[in-house]
Amino acid sequence: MKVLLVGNPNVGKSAIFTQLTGVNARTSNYPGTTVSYTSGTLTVVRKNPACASCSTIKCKSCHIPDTEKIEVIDVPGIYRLDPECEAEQVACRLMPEGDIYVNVVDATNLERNLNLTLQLLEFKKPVIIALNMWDDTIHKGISIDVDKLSEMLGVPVVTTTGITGAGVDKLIQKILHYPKKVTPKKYKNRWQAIGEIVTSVQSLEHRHHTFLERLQDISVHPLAGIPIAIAIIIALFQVIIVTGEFLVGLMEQLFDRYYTPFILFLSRLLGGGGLWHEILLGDISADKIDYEAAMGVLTTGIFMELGLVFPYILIFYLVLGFLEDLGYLPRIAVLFDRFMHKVGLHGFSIIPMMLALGCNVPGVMAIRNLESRRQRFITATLTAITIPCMAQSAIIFSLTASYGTGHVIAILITIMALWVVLGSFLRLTVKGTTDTLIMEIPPYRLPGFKVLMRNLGTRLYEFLTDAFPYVLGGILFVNILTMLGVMDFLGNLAKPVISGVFGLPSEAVSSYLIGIVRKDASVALLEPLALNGVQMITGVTTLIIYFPCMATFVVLLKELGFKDTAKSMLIMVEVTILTGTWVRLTMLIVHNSPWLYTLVTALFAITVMVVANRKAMQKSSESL
Amino acid sequence: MTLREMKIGDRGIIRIINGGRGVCSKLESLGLREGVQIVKKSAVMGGGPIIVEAGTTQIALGCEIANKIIVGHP
Repeated sequence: MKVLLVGNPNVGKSAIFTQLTGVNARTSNYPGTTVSYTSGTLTVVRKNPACASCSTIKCKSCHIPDTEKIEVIDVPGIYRLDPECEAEQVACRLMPEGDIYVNVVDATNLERNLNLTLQLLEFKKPVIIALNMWDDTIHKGISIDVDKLSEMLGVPVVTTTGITGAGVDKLIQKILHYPKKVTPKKYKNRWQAIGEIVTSVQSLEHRHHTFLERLQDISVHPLAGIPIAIAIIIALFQVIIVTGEFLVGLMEQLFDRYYTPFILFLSRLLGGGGLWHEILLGDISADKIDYEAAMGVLTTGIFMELGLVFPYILIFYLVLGFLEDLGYLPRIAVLFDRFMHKVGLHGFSIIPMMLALGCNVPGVMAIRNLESRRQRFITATLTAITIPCMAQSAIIFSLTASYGTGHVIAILITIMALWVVLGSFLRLTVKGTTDTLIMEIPPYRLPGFKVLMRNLGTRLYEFLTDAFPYVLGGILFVNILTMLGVMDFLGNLAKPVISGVFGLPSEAVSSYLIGIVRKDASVALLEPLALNGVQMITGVTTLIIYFPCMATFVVLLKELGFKDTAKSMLIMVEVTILTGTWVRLTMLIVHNSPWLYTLVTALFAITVMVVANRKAMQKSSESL
Repeated sequence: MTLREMKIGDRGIIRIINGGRGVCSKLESLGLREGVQIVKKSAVMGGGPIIVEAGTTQIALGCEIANKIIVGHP
């Protein structure tokens, strides 16, 4: 038996899904978190008459194996059965496969949600309604006559609170005893029918504005909204960097105290030198270990992920998770909608890009929520080219810190300028349309600690299981290639670009090679090269741009298709060479002053944006 | 009066939506259709989106669309 969880976006389908199956589906407070379906199994124990306490799924007092396995599918949210974006199409394709529809309805938004419900009732499939976010109706002064609603719709209705799991047991019982006979309904005037239902089952109580509602109004205030958002974003990055640095310091101490003795022991075991010593431990002296420069699999490999990257990933996802669950991301999308039009997008595209700051893979996957091919192409290309993931950023922070603030700002501005310039260019050249923003803004909800931790746990687990094999394997691979002399050969081959254009030593080729697999390891490989300031900026920016990691590339292929990915890659190569040249030449002109360089680059980007904006306006007025 | 011209904080009823079928059906699925009462909550500066409240839902609309929605007094 297959149960489909169907409902509007952001009504808590994923939370109900997690409660039913124990499979952790990512939840947040904005529409479009689930972009493809997740399936899980609900195991039900048929009540054993001999056991008094056995009515739940996990009965501890008896272990009667009379269980039934039910497949549950978490379907992306839809407003109607008439798909517009990719995520909605996924949902509509799934519909015929279900045996039962569990229609998850946001109880605080009954009227709008019933539109989909009534469409579902027109199918010849049993429907059960989970009236979710039931706890919220109490705060909001909404009361709903559940029995009457059930009677008017002719289907069972259960009240649930997905986040806490309240009512889920009752829902399971209804699924087990679903109505076998179904007579599809036909509504002549759907909205009239909805109106009748809502007026007879729902009553609203007037109450005062809550603190969260006031906060809601301030965050999208006509004048204050944007400055507040900018201040929040800057403050959050400060928090991430400061906390990240603090945690890295803590990790360094832990490594020195507990890990160094182990490595030194291993070093003695390996005889203090030789092939394996070189590959596994790298360049370590007898008493002190420079974990960042040693380049051994077990020294730099382990330290880089646990000591340098993990702290930043932890704090970043804690902050992002809080913003997501609170519901701030869609508000950022609304506030920066106008600005995003300058690069041919609308506000929603900011959400994939913010996710990409953590990891490009979920970022690129989130483009499914965008309506047109043009929007998907521009968002994916800009994300893959200009947005470094947190793992990469963490290494960049630690690597560039010794070069001074000027250099860090120069790198940041180069990437932001590239975003603006490339975006303006894509806006003028990519064919197709960009839709006007139409988006529901969810109410703020205070994030629950348990849910926050669960989402954080999933993300950290994904990071650790993804990163370790690739980073350790990648360093192993580079070490072996270096020993075999393959790196020297490749270095000579790539010399015209790497040394000729970018002005980097030819050994940097290993960075570009490993960057195909992992971006954090690739930046770390610049460390032993003892680069000067200009080389550092060129090296780091080109490493961010030239190729997304393999995992992102695969997702790009899946989301954009072969042709558009090829186009995106072509742009990547051109942009890498242009940016490398720009950094080197501009630095030459400004006599290696990072501050002057930053100024020139920023002015250039603003000029390009203004000119492109004027061109685009001309174009659109001509076409009218 | 169009939704864009409406004052922030005012209440109104949607009279006409001058959009294509696609836009109308998308708006309808969010609960915005002719005859529905709305409150204009905000309009982001510099020609940004307009935020309206219909029932208990808040919806952001790009100003091109807000220009196509004609609102009357309740």
